[in-house]
Amino acid sequence: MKILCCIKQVPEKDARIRVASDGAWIVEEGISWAISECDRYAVEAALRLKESIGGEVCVLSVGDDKASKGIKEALAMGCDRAIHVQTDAVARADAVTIAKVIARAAKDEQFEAVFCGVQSDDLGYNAVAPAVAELLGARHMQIVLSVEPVGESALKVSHELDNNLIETAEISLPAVLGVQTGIYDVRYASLKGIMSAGSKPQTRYSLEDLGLSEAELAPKVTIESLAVPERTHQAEMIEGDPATMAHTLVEKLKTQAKVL
Amino acid sequence: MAKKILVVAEHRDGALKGITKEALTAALQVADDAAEVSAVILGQGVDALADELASWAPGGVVLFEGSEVEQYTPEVYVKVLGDFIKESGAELVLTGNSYQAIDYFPRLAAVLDAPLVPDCTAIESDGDKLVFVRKVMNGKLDARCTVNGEGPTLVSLQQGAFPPSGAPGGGAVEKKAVDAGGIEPRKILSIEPGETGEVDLSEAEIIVAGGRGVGDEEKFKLVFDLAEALGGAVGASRPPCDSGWVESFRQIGSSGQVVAPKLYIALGISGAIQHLVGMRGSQCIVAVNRDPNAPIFQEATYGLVGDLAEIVPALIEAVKESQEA
Ligand SMILES: Cc1cc2nc3c(=O)[nH]c(=O)nc-3n(C[C@H](O)[C@H](O)[C@H](O)COP(=O)(O)OP(=O)(O)OC[C@H]3O[C@@H](n4cnc5c(N)ncnc54)[C@H](O)[C@@H]3O)c2cc1C
Repeated sequence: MKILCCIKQVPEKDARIRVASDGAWIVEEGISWAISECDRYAVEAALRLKESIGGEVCVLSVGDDKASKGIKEALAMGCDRAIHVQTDAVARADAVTIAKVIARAAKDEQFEAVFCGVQSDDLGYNAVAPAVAELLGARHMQIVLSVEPVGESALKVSHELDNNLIETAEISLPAVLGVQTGIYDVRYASLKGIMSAGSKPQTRYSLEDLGLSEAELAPKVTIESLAVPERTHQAEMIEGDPATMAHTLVEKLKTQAKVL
Repeated sequence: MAKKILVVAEHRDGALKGITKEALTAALQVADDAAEVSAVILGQGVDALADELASWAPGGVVLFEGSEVEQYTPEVYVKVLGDFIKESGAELVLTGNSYQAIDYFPRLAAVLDAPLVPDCTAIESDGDKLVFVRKVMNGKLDARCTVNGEGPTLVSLQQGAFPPSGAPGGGAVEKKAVDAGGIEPRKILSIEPGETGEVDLSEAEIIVAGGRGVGDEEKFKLVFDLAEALGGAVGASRPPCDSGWVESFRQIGSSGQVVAPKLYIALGISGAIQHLVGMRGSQCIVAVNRDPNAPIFQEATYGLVGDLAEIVPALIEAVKESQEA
């Protein structure tokens, strides 16, 4: 089976995020970047599918040099080859515009199963996978919890619905799946994987190579400004060294909040 | 602020969802004229829900009825709603950001080639433009966004962001037959409740919950120790469950248990919306986090900034001392 997984480099979870001087993006220098958490599960899901029925896994990332690091890591984890769309132009774009770039880069290859993370840790749209599916004319499922092949042309997929319900469905291929965290133990790259990653084939595209027009790439949603959320409610902050904080808190829980 | 607004309703088990009423409330707030707020609902045998919806939507309700939409499938929803939105001329299409919306709304945006603002927490006006606020960077920052171009804008609203007002009354219901245009939906094999586990946390009076900030499985023992000292139960955000530090039934949030104890202590939990919806109803919330800007402090009654590895042992001491006193 021809399998694709899509990954994005994002600021590491505990990175100290600061707003840039233009007020509309973050300071990218001086923080660490990593593959977005859900996307690691997308890579794992893709590799497991290949291991169960054969085929190849290609990893795709859209982004500047930072994306190269994520691609290298995914190749070291076991992906067979990579597509890198080298651009910073859609880093802040809306989900449909990002999906257009992914879909265009993937279209000619006719991947049968495409895995994305359900939500990225930066823009957090929860939206790219279904949009990519529409643009590829594929089926999709979002918030995916398990994937099993059904012969060569379908997948049995479980995903989360509201009210803690799990829906299991059979979907025909091609399909795009938005993978949730926690569904597998994600593998680490082996030493052998790391050694061989550099020699695996990589296709590099610019936006011009993909032939997307300016109109297609014009962002539909613009981030005008970023700010630390205004506090509508603020906790009563308890100060001091740990022992003082602990005593003050216990006292307040007893006498003020009356919950102990 | 906005002219024609359409709300896409959601229902389950014979009732309109709370988030649908929240979306209607948002629509009524941003509408220039309440008469321009309409709603659409898909289903079979949901006449009563359409009537209820009409009391919220002065501009009227369209009910798409048919066996094809008795059960939700994104394939049919996207087809029916895509055609309807084009025909309706709606400028703004609002819905609650449920898991169902996460599944089909982006696809609808792609079909319509429309701007999509997912998980919006506030809508403001800036001159003649609407400004949509949403969280980015794991909830650390608010992004204020505007949309470009013609055509409808699709916005899904974060649960709880627009507390429902009263229904203004007034609209009429128009029924339409579903034309799914030969679309074959996915084959649904089953819909079953997720894992609930052996501990019903909703009964606990005190819950001590740990998040990714606790660090690892071994350090998670601190969470159990504090819970034991307080006679409470142990909960968690999603990452500790994903990593296998604790059993998955301990997860609190939109994909886990919903709790409202007297006392909820959040240790190393940032306060993502999916977690907050599971514990917001707690009477008293204590948050321990080393990041003073963590969103959890906006929900908390008491906040302690610092390393939980130092604060939690001190808390256990203090609790024990106070019990002896
Ligand atoms: C569809 C969907 C459903 C989801 N459902 C749920 C759900 O039901 N429940 C849920 O919880 N999440 C859910 N999530 C995940 C959610 O979006 C967040 O990723 C998750 O809640 C974050 O957990 P956290 O706060 O523990 O981790 P993080 O957001 O990584 O926060 C860790 C916190 O620990 C603090 N910290 C780190 N080290 C220390 C230290 N030494 N001392 C003190 N503080 C420290 C950091 O400052 C940070 O604030 C869902 C996500 C999706 C996409």
